[in-house]
Order: sequence, then C-alpha cells, then structure tokens
Amino acid sequence: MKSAIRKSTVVGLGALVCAAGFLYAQETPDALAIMNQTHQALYYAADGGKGQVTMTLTDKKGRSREREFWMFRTDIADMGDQNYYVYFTKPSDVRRTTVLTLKHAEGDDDRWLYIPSVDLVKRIAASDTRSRFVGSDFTYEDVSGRLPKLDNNELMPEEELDGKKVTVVKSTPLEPKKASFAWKITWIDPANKLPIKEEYFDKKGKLIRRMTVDKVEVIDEIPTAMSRTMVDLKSNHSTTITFTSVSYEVELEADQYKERLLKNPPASLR
Amino acid sequence: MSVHHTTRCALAVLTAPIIAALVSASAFAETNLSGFAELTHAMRVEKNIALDGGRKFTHRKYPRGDIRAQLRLSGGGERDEYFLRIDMLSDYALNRSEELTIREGYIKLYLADWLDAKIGRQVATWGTGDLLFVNDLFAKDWVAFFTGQELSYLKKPQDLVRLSAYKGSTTFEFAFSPYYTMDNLPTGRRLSIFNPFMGQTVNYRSAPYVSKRERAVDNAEVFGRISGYAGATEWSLYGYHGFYPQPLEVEPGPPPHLAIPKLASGGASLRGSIGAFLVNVEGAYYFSRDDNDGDNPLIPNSSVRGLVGIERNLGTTWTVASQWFADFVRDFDKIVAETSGSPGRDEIDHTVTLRIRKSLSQETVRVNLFGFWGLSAEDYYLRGNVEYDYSDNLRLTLGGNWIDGDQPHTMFGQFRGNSNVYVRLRRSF
Repeated sequence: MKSAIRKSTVVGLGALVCAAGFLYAQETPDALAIMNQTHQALYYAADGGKGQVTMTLTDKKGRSREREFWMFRTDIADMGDQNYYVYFTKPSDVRRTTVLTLKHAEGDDDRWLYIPSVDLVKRIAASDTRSRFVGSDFTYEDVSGRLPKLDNNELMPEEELDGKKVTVVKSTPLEPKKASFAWKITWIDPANKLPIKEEYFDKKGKLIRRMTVDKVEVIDEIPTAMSRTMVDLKSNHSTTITFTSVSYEVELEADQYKERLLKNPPASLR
Repeated sequence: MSVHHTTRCALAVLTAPIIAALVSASAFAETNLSGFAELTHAMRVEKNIALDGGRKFTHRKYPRGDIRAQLRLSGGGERDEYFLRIDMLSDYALNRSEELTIREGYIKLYLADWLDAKIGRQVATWGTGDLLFVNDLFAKDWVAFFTGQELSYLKKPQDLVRLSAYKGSTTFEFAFSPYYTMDNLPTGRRLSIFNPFMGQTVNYRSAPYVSKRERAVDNAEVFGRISGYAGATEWSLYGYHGFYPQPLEVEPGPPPHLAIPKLASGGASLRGSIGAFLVNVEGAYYFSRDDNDGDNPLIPNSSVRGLVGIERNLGTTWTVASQWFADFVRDFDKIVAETSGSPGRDEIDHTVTLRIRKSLSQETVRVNLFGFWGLSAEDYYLRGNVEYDYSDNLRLTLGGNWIDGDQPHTMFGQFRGNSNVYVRLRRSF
C-alpha cells in the first residue's frame, strides 16, 4: 500500500521536473526521511565506536596498494557533529601517523595530522569534501557522509535486487556546483536501512562511480556495513574498505579528541 | 672525530632503558619491526670556486651520495611504549662507511592519567611556522635540508627528558636536555660556507673554527610550552633557556673564532581557521643573555621575531601557503655605530615564503615547491621535488635546491654556489 502511494508521488513529480529543486524535497518528505535513516545507519550507528580498517586500492592494471588503520568515532549529536580519530598501522612508513577530524554538520571540518618522524602536529586546511581520502576512491564526503538535506531526494519505483525488494532514491544536489556528481541513485535494504548500492552520474548522464556494500554483519544488535567498494569507472580504479574488530563501545570521550590523542594513542592500541 | 665516540657513549646510555624494556617485552602487546633502504645522490649544478678551486667544474664533488638503511623497532602495552630508530650509513660522497646513528631511542611512560614522560633520544617539534622557526629551538640539521635528504632529517635528534601534564584541555610541556645540541651546519665539505674572518666563501680547509660547548650540565637546555584551545583555535605560550642554535658569537682570539652565545626566549602563537583559510601567528622575544642591551658588538643583539602564515586548499588537489617572517633587532643604532654605518643588515629583516603542493594520479605523484625570499637580505632559496610512489614500498623522489644571494654573509647568500639536484630511491619494508 505504502509503495503504491510512493509510486503515485513519483508519477506526480514527473510533471514537476522543471520546478526548483527544493520543491521536490517538499513534495517527497518520505525520500528525505528514508535517506536520513540510511545516513544514520551508515554513519551515526550507536553513539560512536571503533574498528580496524583495511583499505585496498587497485588500479586498472590490477596493481594494489594497502592501508591499514584504526578508526575511532564519537558522536556529539545524531546527524550532527562527530569526532574521528585515525591511527595508521600500514604501510610501515606511515605507521603511528594519526589524523584527528572534528566533523561539523555546519561549516568546514577541523583536521589535524601528526607525523611522528618529526613530532609534528600539522593543521590541515579545510579541504574540498570531494578530495580523496588517503589517495583512495572514497572522498572525505564518502567517508564521513553527505547530509541528505544537501540534496533533493526523490523516491523511485521499488526494485528487486537479488530476490529482495529494495527502496530506490534519486538524490540531486541542491547546489550542483559544490557536488562531484549531477545525481546519484541509492538502493536501500528496507530491512536494515543500509544502502546496498550507490551510483553516481555526471551531467551527461554517464555513470562515473559505483559504491557497493559487500558485506553486512550484525554487531551489538546493529546491522553494520563491514565491507564497501567504490569503483571509479572513468579511471577503472577501485577501493575496498573492510572493517574488522568493530565495536560500538564508545572508548573516547568527545573532549579527548585533542593534540594529546594525536601524540599518544589510546591504551587499547599500544 | 668525536662523533663516533659520542655515538658510542650515547648508545650505551640510550640502549639501557630500551634493553630493559625489551627484557620485559612479554608485557608488551606487540613488537613491530620495519625500516627502509635508501639511496640519495645529489649533484651540484653550478661551479663553486671554493669547492672546485682553480679546476674545472667536474661534477666530482657531490654534496650527498649515500646509502642508508634504517631499522625501526617499537612496542607497547597498557602502560609504556618504546621506540628505536637506527640509521646505518655508507657515505660514498665523503668516503665514510658504516656510520651508525641512533636517530631515536626512547621510552614513553604513562605515569598517571594526567602525566606522561618521553625519555631518551628523540626529535621534538612545536610552533606554527612552515620551515620557519620562531619558538621551535630544538636542534635542526641544515646540511640534510640543503642536500636532498628527506624532510624529516631537518630535525636533529636530541637527548631529552620530556614531561607532559594535562589539566582539562590545557597541556603543560617541559623538556630538559642535560647538554646543548648545536644545529648541524655546513662545514665546507658538502657545501661551501662563508668565513666572516676572511670575508669570503671557503671550503672546509679554511672553515672558521667553532668552539663547541661542552657536554656538561652547565650547558643544559630547558624548553617549555603551555598550550590549549579556544574553540578550534589553538594557543600556545613558549619558553626556552639555553643557547643560540648556531655559533653567532665572535671570539676575538687569537686566533679569532666563533662561539655559541647564551639565549633565553619567550613567545606565543595562535593557529586557527578563518573560512577556508588556515591562519597562524607566532612571535617571540630572543633575549641575548650576555648582551641584552646590545653593547657588545661580538654577540648578537636581542631581537623580536614573528611570523604570519596563511594556507588554503584549492580544488581537490592543490594547496597554496604563504608566510611573512620578520626579525626586528634591538638597539640597531648601536650596531650602526659599531660598524661605522655599514651594519650588514636592516633593522627589520623580512622574509616571505610560498608553498605550492599538487597531487596527481590518485596521490601517487606529489609535486612540492617551496620558496624563501629574503626581502631585506636580497637572497633566496627555492626547493622543490616530485615524489612518485611506484608501490607502497618503493618511492622515487627527484628534487632540487636553488640557493643564491647578492651578498655572501646573508642567511641564504652564504650558501650561494651550492645549488644542486638530487635523486632519492627508497625501498621500505
């Protein structure tokens, strides 16, 4: 029944294609609500947590590079500010390098890098959220999440994927100049609210990037995306992020995300 | 030379706690071994009368040619951590081989919730400047800097006892070195230098004699910093008691030579962001302890130093940064009088810097350009390189150092004739 209503909304919207972006958003509050739930499930699960991350970068010739790091997260508010701490363990050259990010829902993030070989705490200028995260195919925005309210979200007809009915949402940036894509389509598992797949298109309607969630596990009763792959279809370069040792126990208080933490890893990492 | 002797002494002193730590290694959760082998080859690109003599510019004198192996050993547990970094060097430019240096060897003790200590040989850095140092009076290695070594070698290791105490978001840091560590400065072997007594650029045979400070507690160095946050803006207050990092004092002799004058300093810095710009401001007062009033022409006058820096990212792959640095010398009128009107510097010495960074090919290629321009001294130093990561474990770096100046006694002018290009190949494991 619900899907019938959604479908009719979408059909209704078809006539409004030429209208201003924000109108769509008002017309389909459901789509925004769904995307918010997905954003919450993927980026704000529990109040924080930690996990070990293996990032494999593969170029078109099949050569791969690997990064390994621990990531800690503490949320200040759901869908709001978050603090991130990253401690690199691989490659060996960057071992013990740490990054601190104070992510702000409004305004630029604050970011610091600690380089142990010179004992240097370097502050990093606010970067374009489209910049690559440690040289990977994931952008900073992909890693810490793009707020759904930055897009106009439309509900598309339900689809079947691997024998499962899935919710499909099309998101069009409200400020196209500030986005790396013209629109994206997200396939969402209605059961756990996690995305199954995301496809990014450019202005010409060409598919440029594809993100897939490769593995979901339930940890502390929370469905968790344990492995994600991003493929850059222009360069045929891909990156897989795999989480292990995930825990939703919040080890670090929000006010611990300071220079001390950059220089001294939490006891559990020593 | 005494290098080997002191290395050996330091070895004994420094390895003791590390060995003790290793003995109780079972207490540590993890032991980690890594390192690299690296070839660095630098070649001068211009003729230098002091180094080449009357001969033709033959390319035979390389400012650097060495093969270095570095071993890093670390481990830790709930309470403590240790870290050891050893460099083995075979230097074919100076025909010295198998030199062993402990670059770092320290233990980190987490003494209490609010207190930790880092004891042993280590590099230490603070302050907000980008390759400009106002309150960072920890030792530097300028030879490494000018001859194509990786940037981390600009920091010269020091034997320190470092304590950090925390109260709320405020950090109190204290570092003590039982003896003075001078900057590593060109001696006329790898790079030609200016001899102020002869008034000309010379090689090591005619280098001015520098009287070193004894490794004694009379020559101890004390560093302090208090830092915290106001929102996301970082503030720091700094203090130092010790000596100038370089031999800036003239001992009339005979024979006349250079010595290291006493210094104390205090300063402050702020770093934060304004919109997309990262902004930092830093200043310090250098108190020339033996000549604060500027009465002795052979000892540097006290001065006020400051810098302002700005940085921003452009697009997703460019970073641009610039700094303005000024050194305002006290009692300039006295210098003018002492030198009969030719002080050899301006009252305020201005320097500007520009950095441009660009990454390409999935950040496997990085281009770095950095320039210093001495506006008052009329000298400059441009350094740049291209780094290419063939894989996670193999990095090729091509770079160059272009140094020139109108006068032979200024910060960069003293190294004119030493411009070089270099290649560096590093295999990590």
